[in-house]
Amino acid sequence: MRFLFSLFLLPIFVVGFIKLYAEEIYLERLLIVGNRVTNEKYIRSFLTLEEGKIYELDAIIDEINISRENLEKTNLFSRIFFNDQLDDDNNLVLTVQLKEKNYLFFGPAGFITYDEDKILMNTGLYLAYTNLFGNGGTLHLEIPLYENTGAVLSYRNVVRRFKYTWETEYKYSYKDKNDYLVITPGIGYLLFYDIFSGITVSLNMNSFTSVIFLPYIEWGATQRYSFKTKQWMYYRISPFYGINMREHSFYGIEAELNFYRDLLLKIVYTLIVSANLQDGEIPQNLLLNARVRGTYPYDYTGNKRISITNALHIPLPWNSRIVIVPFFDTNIIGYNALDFLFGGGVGFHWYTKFQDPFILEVCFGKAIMLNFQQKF
Amino acid sequence: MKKIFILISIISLAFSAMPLVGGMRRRPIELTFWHSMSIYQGDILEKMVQEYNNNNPDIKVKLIFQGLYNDMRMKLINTSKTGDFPDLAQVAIEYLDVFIHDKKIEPITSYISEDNKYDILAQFWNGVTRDREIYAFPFNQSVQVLYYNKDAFRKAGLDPEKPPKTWAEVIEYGKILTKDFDEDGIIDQWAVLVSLEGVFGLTPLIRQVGGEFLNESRTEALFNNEEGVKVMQLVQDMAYKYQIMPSNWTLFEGTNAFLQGKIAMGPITCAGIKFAEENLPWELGIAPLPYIENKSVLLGGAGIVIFTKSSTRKKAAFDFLHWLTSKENTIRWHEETGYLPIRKSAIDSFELHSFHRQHPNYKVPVEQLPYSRPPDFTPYLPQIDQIVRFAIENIMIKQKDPRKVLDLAADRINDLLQKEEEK
Repeated sequence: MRFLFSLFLLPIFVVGFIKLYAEEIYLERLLIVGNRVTNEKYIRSFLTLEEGKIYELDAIIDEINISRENLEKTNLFSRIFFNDQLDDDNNLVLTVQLKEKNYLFFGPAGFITYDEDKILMNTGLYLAYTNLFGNGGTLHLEIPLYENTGAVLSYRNVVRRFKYTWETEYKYSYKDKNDYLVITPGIGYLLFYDIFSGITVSLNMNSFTSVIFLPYIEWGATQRYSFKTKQWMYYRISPFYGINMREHSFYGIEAELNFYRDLLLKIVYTLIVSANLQDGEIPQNLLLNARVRGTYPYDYTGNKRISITNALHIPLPWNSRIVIVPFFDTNIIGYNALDFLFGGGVGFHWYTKFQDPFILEVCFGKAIMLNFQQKF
Repeated sequence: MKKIFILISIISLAFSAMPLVGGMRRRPIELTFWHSMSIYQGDILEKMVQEYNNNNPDIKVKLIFQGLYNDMRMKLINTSKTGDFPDLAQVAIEYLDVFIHDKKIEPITSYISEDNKYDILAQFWNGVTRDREIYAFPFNQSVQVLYYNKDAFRKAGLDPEKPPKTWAEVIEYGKILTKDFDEDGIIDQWAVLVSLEGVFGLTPLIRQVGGEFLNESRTEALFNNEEGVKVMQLVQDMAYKYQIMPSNWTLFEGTNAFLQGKIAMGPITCAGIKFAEENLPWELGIAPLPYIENKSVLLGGAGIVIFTKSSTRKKAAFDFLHWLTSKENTIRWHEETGYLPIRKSAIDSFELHSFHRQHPNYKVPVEQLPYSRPPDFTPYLPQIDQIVRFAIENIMIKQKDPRKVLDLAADRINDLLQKEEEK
């Protein structure tokens, strides 16, 4: 009798168990708050959750994590919080509470070198706005203030799987009494998880008016999205082909590898290796220059270059906004005869509210260089 | 002329109204908050307080670091002589009794809403409640968990997803994980470090074999019973009989060795999970604290004591505390440190479920909550702790007989408790 009673109870337990673990939730509303600059429509494009859909508990947790990761990758928010509440009918109202980052950055950019009683400068100002029109577009403006005048204006944006870029560069050199204008539109497509492929077409208008086609493929990331990531990499490879109005062509290939390894106590080792090869009638403004901090870049030119940069990023234990960066750079550059250059020094990176970060470097190479914010 | 008169009248009115407008702007209430959160936890607390200050123009919280829990206790004792207490102070739950006994803090039970009483878990209220009166607001609470080096497990041929569940398994794993890589007779990798930090290290292990540290009325030591001897014998055996852990390392030495990968596992507070995940160069695993016979972990941490007697300042203090421990902020505090989320609404939230799916290490301390209990509270805990530390040193470093040492320590504690009762 007891056995029969147990047999009768068993299906009730099984149904109860399944119901408990397969709990279904009706997502009534999906709200977004805290977005003062970013467009709601743009934010929603990253959310994989759908209003009016029934989810199982496990599925909704998965969708929240996918949506969060998508939003984190935009690099626009310092905090993302999914707040769940039930309405009067016991349906789910999910509110995405966001805290936006600072989007405006500005400051000095450039370097000053001192070499055998000669002071050479390449200085300017930069301004960047990283959430233009509230849809994640980055506008970057650089204004040179020494010897050259003009502006470098660039815009880039990623919308779903497409990446759009536009760069306009105009410079007039007081020193050389010439000017040039370069307009470079580009489009890329996200092939897989983090592999982009695309093409940029660069229109150079100067004494050497030319069109350059630069297809590229890039994968990986230059910054980590999770503190659990201990090692990450970024690669880019792009062959190019250019033709000028005198029907002379030029071509080459650029390749870059960035490697990052978290050593201990937030100390990150960075290795950047790049290789460039050019041939044909290269326009003056596209010639390769030395990329060794501590050496005036325009003193060494060539059509072949291998550049290796090593750096350690050491945050101060008592103030992680300040990072001390010792570095060592080497270059092999030239045409047929190659020069071997090396330099090193120490950098001071300060993550202030308006500069992300403010960089000041003291560099020793063929000269002594004070570099601020200039990325080599 | 009429126009000039009207113009002069308007200007006069405008000027006369200016002090009125200035007078209407109330000065914010400035609350002084002494805290004990160092380095990265302090940075997070500072960020949160700054955010509160930015969003609340009427209340400004001034955060002052006063050293770790013991330093804070000493500073508050010194301050009690002048009565110049801060408005708020973060006090370790085991040190609350020192101030309750001397009537330096008042109960706040009547100020706690029913919502808060229900939403904050009973374990956390137990930590700040004495004789049915609440003396502090729960804030940063932690339990011990087993930290282990997944890379070391892999190298030793052990499954990193199957950490030891019991102390017996720790010994078995320990025999495999203890390594002299260069065979020079010096151990290069120890399996485990059980740094019994006084009362707080010993209490959960004694409870795991069904014993207690003090009796219910807190008048007699019980840790020298069979259960206590069994525990100390086990720990001593791990060092000398099985040789899987160093015998004389402090928690500081052990933590440093763990960071460098020279110790494969050890019980450490969950409050360090974020720091460890961010800073260790190898993969960190977190498992429940191993047990001997029953599961038991010690609930530690601190509550926030409201010292101010002014009703306006008290109201402002509660406004800040409700914000600091809100559902969103208790989750944030958990995610950014490893401390336990204190609210049911937080533990049940989709936000926390989704975070734990991505970061399973943080889920382990939350799952240990049903087995957690605070230490045996008494105002004399600091003195008792010193006696117990001395006893553990004698057992672990001088290799003395656990029974004799524990009996001696218990006698000293019973004398102390008796003398204090007589006072």
